Amino acid sequence: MSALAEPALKRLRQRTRGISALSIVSAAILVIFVVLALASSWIVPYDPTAGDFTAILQDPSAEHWLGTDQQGKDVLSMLIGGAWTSLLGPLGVVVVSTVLGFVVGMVAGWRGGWVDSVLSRGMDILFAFPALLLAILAVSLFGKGLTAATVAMSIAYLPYTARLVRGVVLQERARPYVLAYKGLGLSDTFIAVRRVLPNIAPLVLAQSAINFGYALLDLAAISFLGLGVQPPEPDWGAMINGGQSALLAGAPYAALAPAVAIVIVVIAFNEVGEELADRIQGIS
Amino acid sequence: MSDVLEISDLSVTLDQGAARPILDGVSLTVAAGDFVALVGESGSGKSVTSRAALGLWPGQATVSGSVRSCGVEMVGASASDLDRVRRGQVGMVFQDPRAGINPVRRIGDFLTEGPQLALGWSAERANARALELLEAVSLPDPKRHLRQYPHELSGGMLQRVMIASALMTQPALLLCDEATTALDVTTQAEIVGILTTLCVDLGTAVLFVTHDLDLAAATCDRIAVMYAGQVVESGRAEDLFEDPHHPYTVGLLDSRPPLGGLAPDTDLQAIPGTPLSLAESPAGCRFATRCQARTPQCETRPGLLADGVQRLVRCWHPSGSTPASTPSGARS
Amino acid sequence: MNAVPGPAERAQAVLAQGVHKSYWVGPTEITAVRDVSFTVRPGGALGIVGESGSGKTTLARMVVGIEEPDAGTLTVAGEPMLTRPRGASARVAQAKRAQMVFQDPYLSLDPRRTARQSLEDAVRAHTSGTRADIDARVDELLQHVGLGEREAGARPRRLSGGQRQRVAIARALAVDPAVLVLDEAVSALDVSVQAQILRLLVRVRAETGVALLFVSHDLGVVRYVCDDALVMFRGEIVERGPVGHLLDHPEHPYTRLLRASIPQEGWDPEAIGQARRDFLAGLG
Repeated sequence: MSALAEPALKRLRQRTRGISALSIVSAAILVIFVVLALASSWIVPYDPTAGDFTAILQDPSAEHWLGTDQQGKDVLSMLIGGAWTSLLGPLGVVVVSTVLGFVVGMVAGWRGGWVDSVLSRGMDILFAFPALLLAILAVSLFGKGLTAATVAMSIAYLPYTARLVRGVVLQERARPYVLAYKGLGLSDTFIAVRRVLPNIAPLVLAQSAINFGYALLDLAAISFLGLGVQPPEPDWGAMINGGQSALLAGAPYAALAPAVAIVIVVIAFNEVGEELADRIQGIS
Repeated sequence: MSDVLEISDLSVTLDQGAARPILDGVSLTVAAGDFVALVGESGSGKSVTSRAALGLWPGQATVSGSVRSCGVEMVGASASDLDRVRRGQVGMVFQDPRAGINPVRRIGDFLTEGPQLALGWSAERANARALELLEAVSLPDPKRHLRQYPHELSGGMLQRVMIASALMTQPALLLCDEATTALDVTTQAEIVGILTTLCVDLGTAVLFVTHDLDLAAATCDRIAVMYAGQVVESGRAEDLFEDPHHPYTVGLLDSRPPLGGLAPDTDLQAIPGTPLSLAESPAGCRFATRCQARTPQCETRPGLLADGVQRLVRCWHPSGSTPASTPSGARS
Repeated sequence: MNAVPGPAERAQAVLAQGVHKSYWVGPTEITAVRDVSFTVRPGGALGIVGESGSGKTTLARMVVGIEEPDAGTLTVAGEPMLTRPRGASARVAQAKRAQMVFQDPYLSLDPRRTARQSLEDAVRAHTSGTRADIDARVDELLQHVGLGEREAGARPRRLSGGQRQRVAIARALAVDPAVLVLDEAVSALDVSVQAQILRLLVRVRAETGVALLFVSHDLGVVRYVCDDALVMFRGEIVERGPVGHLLDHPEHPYTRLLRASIPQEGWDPEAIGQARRDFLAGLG
């Protein structure tokens, strides 16, 4: 047992060596937010959708740690309750855009020629299309809500991943090890999917972690504009929107708390993504 | 004659995470105007040794022993001492010329900037010197090259610029770290020719770091062979070739397929295993695990045996004409 | 472009007739290989000597089908080598004609595959045997190139340069090719390790009867491995012959320059530099 455990421990120590404290803190913050989101229905002190008109726009107190909004809803409960949709949306965006980006990028980079030209021009067009316009378009197709916003953002984020994948595949395709696989008579599909894909995946996933932060920001903006998550469903972007008027009335907590949460999560994802990308580049 | 480089009992240990020794008791001297080669394979510590002459240590390192460059002690040297040696007295040429030159500055600026800023040369003096040196390294059109950017020159031409740059201040010592390794053989020959002629003219001593024993012998008067962070054998080039003492030197010489073909009924003799770094190599004799002549005695550290003038070997069982067993420079 | 192979082609391991290859760099055409003809007999060993820009690497890549000639005939074991052979059986058949060992043993191995896994990929592409058959063949290959259990289970990163090159050679031998093309395959190795690999190659040739096309700038190494050699300069063959005769009695001025440039007793780099300048000036 100990003979097995020892090298594993050593490897773990080697792997964690040189990781900045900021990244570790960032990762810890993300874990905390995810746990809060998953456990929200059990740990919220009040129902995040139920107002209490006897206690509106209160300052933080022992009963309401982050105060209440203009409908008397507990800000802390809304923050925790909203973590779920606020994190689920970006997750959907990142998963869909990464999967599609892999497909488009791999095909374009591997096949080259006219296939590459067509796909790359398509990505350029998507790139030039404002994300918000896409969102409005999606809302008109699917109606307001998280689904429309997620679909729109997935399409908006697709070119980022596709371009990255294409670039890495182009590089990888010219590497001697890929030439050697071809020389052995293995099929292109096998080489691309079974051998090259696992080699480039970590780098692309690191980029996706960074994208997660931006997607969260964009989805919050869409909810803020009233096109995304609809009240009374709690969501950070919608909370900032709802808290606007209270902000002017001198009760900043309803808008400030979700804003700070967004900033923290975005920075944390950025930091973790950068760290991952650095480490992966250092290895290959 | 005074020594321009005097390394004695130099040991270097890296302190990142676990302590990792990379040099173990290296001693080496280069007299004024001398050409000395430092030969070794990857991980032998030859580059670390040569950089020590400039007071350049790898990362966080613990250094013991002494390195005197042009009379200045580089171990624990002050910033002003380091500057003085690096700016005027010791020059360096690396393997990849493109790594050592700013790609967006003109060749002329690259050459003249250092002496102007560091030594207060006038622009006229620096320019004249640059032109003179570009001519001396046989570049076809020196005046034009001064106005060109690095990407306009080939690797071989750029390496000549680097040589010119290193010799601007007529240093007492030039360090060449695998300076011709990346070049084609015909280009290598031409550049080594230019380098040697120029350094002889200027009276500049050369420490020539290379993996190529034949090149070392063809270029230098003396050779020090390094293995796993130690100098295992040193001596005059012709002595080393005719009568190698250390099994590693013997192995290196036998590993090279001769240009004239092998003698009948003989084969290439490879050294078994892979070159080891100091941290990976066994205590005692560092070469023992790859050595055919290994005995139990090799589990203890051999001292340096002296054999005649300037001939040293670190081995319990030296081959060839047996050196006089007078331990010299041996440590416990 | 490739004529139907006749009996003459089938009798040779490699047959090149008037092979031509050029590239377009922007608006200028650069000829990499010009009107090159040579043969390698089955089980023979031909050295291709030249410096950077001589076209020797382009030639090697054409022999294994990484690139195709613009003009001329190039057949390996009687058949032309295609960059995109059609169908699985054509790919496998082409793989059995020629295999390549690249210069950089690190880049030519898949970073995520262990030595054993790399060899399994190669063996599996060419045999439909049981798991036990494949394992046995991999063991045989590992033993053949002198790799032990520890090396077999290691990824390229944990192998030394010499060990990686042994894996690359074993992978090439896995398909039992008619021709093994080695592109500067020993020049990145330490001298003491280089000798091990050279001995291995000579032994492999004697034991398997594979023909070698050995591309190198190193005359001493070519002399040790090859029977015959040709010297290339700026895309053309300037001299050819039995390797001993070629090196002991070089006739072409470039061969003489190359021979003299190698550090040896009585080496006069200054005179060589002058000779080089004269030679290049003579070309205009």
